[in-house]
Amino acid sequence: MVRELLKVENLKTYFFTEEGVVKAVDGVTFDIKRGEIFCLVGETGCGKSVTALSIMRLVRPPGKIVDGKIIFEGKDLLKLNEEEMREIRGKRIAMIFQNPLTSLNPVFTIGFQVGEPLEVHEKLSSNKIRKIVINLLRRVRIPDPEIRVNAYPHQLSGGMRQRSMIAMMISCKPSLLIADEPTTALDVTIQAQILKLIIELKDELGSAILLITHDFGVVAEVGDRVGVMYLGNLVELGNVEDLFREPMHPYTRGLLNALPLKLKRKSMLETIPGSLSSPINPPPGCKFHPRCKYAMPVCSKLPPPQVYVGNDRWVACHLYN
Amino acid sequence: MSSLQLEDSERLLIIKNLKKYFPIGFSLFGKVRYIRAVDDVSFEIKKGETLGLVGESGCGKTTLGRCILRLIEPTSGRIIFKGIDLLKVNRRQLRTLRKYMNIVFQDPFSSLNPRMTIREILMRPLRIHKIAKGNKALEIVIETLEKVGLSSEHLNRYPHELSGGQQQRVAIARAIIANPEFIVLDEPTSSLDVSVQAQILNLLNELQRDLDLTYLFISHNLLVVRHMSDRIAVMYLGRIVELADADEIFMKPMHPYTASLLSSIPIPNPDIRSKKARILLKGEPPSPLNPPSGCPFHTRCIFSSVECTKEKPSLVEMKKGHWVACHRADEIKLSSFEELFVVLNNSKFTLEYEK
Repeated sequence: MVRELLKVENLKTYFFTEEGVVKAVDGVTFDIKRGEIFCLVGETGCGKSVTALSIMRLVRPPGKIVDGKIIFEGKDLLKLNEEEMREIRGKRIAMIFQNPLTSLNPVFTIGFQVGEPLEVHEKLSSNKIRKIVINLLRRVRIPDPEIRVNAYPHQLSGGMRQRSMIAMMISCKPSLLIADEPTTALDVTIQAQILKLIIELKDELGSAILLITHDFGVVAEVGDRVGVMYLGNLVELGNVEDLFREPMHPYTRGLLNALPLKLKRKSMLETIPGSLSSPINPPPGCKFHPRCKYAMPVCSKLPPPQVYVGNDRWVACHLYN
Repeated sequence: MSSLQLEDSERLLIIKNLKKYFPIGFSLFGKVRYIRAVDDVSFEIKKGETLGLVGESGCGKTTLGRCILRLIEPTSGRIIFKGIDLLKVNRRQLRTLRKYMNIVFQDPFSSLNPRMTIREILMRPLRIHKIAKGNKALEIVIETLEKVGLSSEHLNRYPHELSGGQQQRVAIARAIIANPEFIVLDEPTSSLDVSVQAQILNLLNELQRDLDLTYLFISHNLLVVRHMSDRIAVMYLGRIVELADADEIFMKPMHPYTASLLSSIPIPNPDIRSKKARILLKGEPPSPLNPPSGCPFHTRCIFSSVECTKEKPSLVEMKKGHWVACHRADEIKLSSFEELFVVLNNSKFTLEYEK
């Protein structure tokens, strides 16, 4: 069996707005191996969510995937028609979002919504689906699943809603789970419970997980490999341990140093100078160069290629060229 | 309660038995039902310190912050600011006192009037408190903008033209422009990215030093609160369950809730992942509408005994400056939260990532 489950090659997703072309994802390449947790981390607007939506082919106009390949289980998803894609969505690749309240339909019961993928993909009888759903809810540790199956989303707490979303996501045993900021809206004690659940389910099902987050803490807790994004580019990619031990890209270093982790309280935190450039008119060359303290003349001229630096590690920075 | 009281000259703010009950309709027998958002809270804030207030959503930390400024009218209790009981003054006197205290909210965009330019936003407090007019006022506005890292070029901009970090700087400028002594910071960096958060935290610390400010720093992010605070108060279901020096509370938490909160923090260091002692809480926070009997935490506490289900524990000083509301605080053994300090001591993090 090939170890790669998903290969994203030179993915470009642009948004054609009135103000200009927003290059939300601009040439991103990575792969996800079977059974691993791959994290995409970055700040607001870096393109991490659009990357996930592109994999699901859920990018809506004015957004468009303009180039690249997304090879999933040997098939290029970008070459499939809508019918074939629907077979994959929810069945082979499932996704959950940050805010479970807006992704759940308020007028249907939890039981109905969790069972929907089974109805669509497996064509089972409603009695059978109900039994499976109760089991799924039990599996994601929802107390009294026999009662909750009839509950509406507003009757559940935030943590339980996210658990229901996870139940829905795993109902067809997909081989890739995409979780877009799954714990950002939750409290820290509930976040810990949900992260634990995600790891347990990954081990049980053997699925790979693409976890999108802005929190380096979450990456360090659960990730196997991680990619750091900045303005539509993947600037660094590697094993979680290696990346935290020795972040290579100046942006990754800047982000880690900006975390409030100093022995001496109230001491100055390191900051990244300047602010995020506009995605419509990004700086030429390396998009990070106006904020980079290591910038060299070449940085403003040529975009840095993704260079392999050994040990499953890639970095896009002229310092390593 | 003797040592909870500081020297008079040191105390800027004294909160005594503060309560805020929100009425929410009637029970079956026509009795008014209440949400006890803040339930009998007492503490003090020293001049020049930052008191951190942490807790999960719905614990009452925001309500408490707003009650202190009387943006929400408390149900009962006392708020003594610079020797004056804020709950006994009338509206006009309160307005005068508001010059000395202010607040910065979580979402800068919704807290700035979208139809006003930055100049108008910052001129207003000067006019209301009759501090300055005309050119003198403009001078103060520009000076304040520079203090928060903006400049006169931002004067005629509207809030939507600024980035989130810049908007928060404007909100901070508005809070400090009338020279206050005390500022409530309600999740001031929660809607910002990490790199911007660092800039704002640095700015707040700088301003505190330069302007001799006292902060109540409200946040759900424990790492941020630790970085910013001298002392930390932990809230659960409307009550303070633990209050101590910031490092002490991380090193030797005495309340089981604090310990479980700390153990839930995702720490940005994969090396300690396996070593971490997690205290996962059972279930979710109970509804403040229907709080459990006795200790409000007993339904999720692994140490709860019969006593805990019956009687509410009061906040007592277990060690000097370390206050805990737990019946079993002196008998239970909580693992200390040293992982964080392992990370902090780790040269990689303290010496900065450098080439």
